[in-house]
Amino acid sequence: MLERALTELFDRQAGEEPPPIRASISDALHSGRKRARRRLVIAVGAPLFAAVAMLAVAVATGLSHPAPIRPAQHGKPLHWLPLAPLQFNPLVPYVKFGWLPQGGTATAVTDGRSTVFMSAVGPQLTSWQVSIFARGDCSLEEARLACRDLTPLQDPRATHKAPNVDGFPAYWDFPNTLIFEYARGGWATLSLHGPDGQVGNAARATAVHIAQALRFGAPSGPVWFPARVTGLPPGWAIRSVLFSYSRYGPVAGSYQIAPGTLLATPWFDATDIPEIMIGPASQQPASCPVTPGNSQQTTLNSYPVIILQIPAGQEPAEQSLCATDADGLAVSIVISGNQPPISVSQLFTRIRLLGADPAQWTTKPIG
Amino acid sequence: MGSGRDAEFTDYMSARMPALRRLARLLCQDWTKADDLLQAAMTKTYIHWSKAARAENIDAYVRAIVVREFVRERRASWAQRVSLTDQPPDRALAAPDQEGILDLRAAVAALPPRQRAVLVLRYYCDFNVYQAAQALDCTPGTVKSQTAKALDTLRRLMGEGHTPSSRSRPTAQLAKLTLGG
Repeated sequence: MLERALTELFDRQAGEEPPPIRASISDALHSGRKRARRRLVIAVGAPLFAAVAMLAVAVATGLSHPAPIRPAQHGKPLHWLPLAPLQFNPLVPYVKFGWLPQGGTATAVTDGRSTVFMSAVGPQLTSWQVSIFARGDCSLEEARLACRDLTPLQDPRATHKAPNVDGFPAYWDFPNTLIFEYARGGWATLSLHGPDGQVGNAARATAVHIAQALRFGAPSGPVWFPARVTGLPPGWAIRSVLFSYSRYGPVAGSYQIAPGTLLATPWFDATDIPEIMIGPASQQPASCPVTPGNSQQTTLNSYPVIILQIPAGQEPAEQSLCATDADGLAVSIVISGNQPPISVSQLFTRIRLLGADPAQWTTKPIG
Repeated sequence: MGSGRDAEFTDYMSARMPALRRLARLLCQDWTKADDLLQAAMTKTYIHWSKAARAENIDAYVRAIVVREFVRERRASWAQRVSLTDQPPDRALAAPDQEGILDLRAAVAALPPRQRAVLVLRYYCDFNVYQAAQALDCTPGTVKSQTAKALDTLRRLMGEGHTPSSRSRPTAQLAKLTLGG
C-alpha cells in the first residue's frame, strides 16, 4: 500500500542523522522581538500617518478636496480610471499576461467568480503567480490585505512601498509578493519565486513590469468546453474553470458547476460542488480507480463507467465517476460532501460529450 | 517583551526543536530549507507566544505554524488548482518521465507543497482529516481532495497508474490533458 510506504519513508527520513542545525532560538527571539515591535508601530502608527497625510493633501490643495487624492494615471483624474468588476465571468477570462520575460510562458489559469489565478514559468525555474480579486473582495487594513477568498494566514502584508502599477499605489510583502490595485476597488497580488528561493531587486523589477503589462477586459475570448450539460434546474452555473491556452484559445480542463446557493462560497470550499475534469483521451489513457465493495462498473449513455461511492464516516462522503474513453474524451466527475445537490450518475447522464475535436466544442457548457 | 516569556519560549523550543526540525525536513525534503523554515516558524511562534502558550495543545499549535508557514512561503494556496500542469500550452502531452522519477522519495519531493504537507500531516503526524484541516486552516473536503490528488500523483510518477486505490482518481492525469498538436 502506498500509504504504508509513505509512513515508512517519512519515519526513515525523520530518523536520518541530521546535519548541524542552522536555526537558532536566539535568532528567533531577536527577529521576533523586532517584528513584534514593527507590528505595534504599524498598528498604532497607521491611523496617525493617514491623518497626517490627509492633512498634508488638504493643505497642498488649498482644502478644496475633502479626501486624499491618489496618483492619477496618464494624467487623468482618478475617477476616470476603470472600476474593478464586482464579479468575474468564468466563461470569459478577465485577465491575461501581456508581457513575460524572454522564455516565460503562461502555464495555467483558473477563473472563479470572485478570483482569478494565473501562473507563468520562466527560465531557471522562475515562476510568477497572479491573483486578481473582484471589487470588494479585499481591503487593505493596517498594512494587511484581507481577502474573503484567502484564509487569514494567507493574507499578504504590505511591508514595503513598491513602484506604482499603472498609477495605483503598490506594496511589497517583502521579499516576493507585490500587492497592487489593478482597478478602482480591485486588489491583486503577484508572487515571484526564483531559483532556490532567491529573489533580488532585478527579479522584483521584472515582477512590477509583468504587473504593469497585465491585460484586462476580455483579452483572450471565451473558454471552449468539450461537453455541454443540459436539463439542470434553473440557477445552475459554472463556478470556476481551470483552463490552458491553446491555438484554439482558452480550453477548459477542469470546471466546477453549482446551483445558485453554492456559487458564492469561497473558492477553497468545494464541499458538495461537482467538479468535472475532461479532455481528450491521451496517448496514455487515464485509468479509473477501483475499490472492491465501493466501486461499481456500469454503462451510462452507452459509455462504460466506473462509479466509486465512499459513504460518510469520519470523513465526508465522496462519489466519483470515471470514463477513460467516451467518444475520445476522458471524463471524471467528483463530488465531495454529505449533501450533494446531484449525484455523479445523474450529472453524467445530462452531459453531452462533444468529442476530441475542439472545432466541435462549445462556449456554452450549460443549457 | 518580558523575560519570563522569553524563558518560557526558550525552554519550550529547546525541548521541541529537534521534532519540529524533523517535521520541517519532511515538508521541505531538504535540511537546508528545513532550517530556514524552522527559523521562520520559530520567529512566528515567538510573536504569537502568548496565544501559543495558552493553546490547549501547544505542540499542535506550533506544528500548525510550521506547516502553514511552509505553505505560505511558497504561496501555494492556489497551487493545487494552477500547478496541475507544468507543460507549456500548445504542445502535445508528453508521457510521464517514469524513468526519471524512480522512487517514492523523489516522487514526494516533486509534489506541490500543499499536497506534500497534507501527506506529511496524515502519514507522519498521523492526523485525521479534521486535524489536518485545522492545521492547514482549510476544510476537511480540501484535505481529502488534496490527499487523493497527492496519492494519484505519486502513483502516476511511480508508474503505478493501474494500482487499485481506495480514494484516488485520475485527477492529475486529466488535469494535464492539453490539446495535441
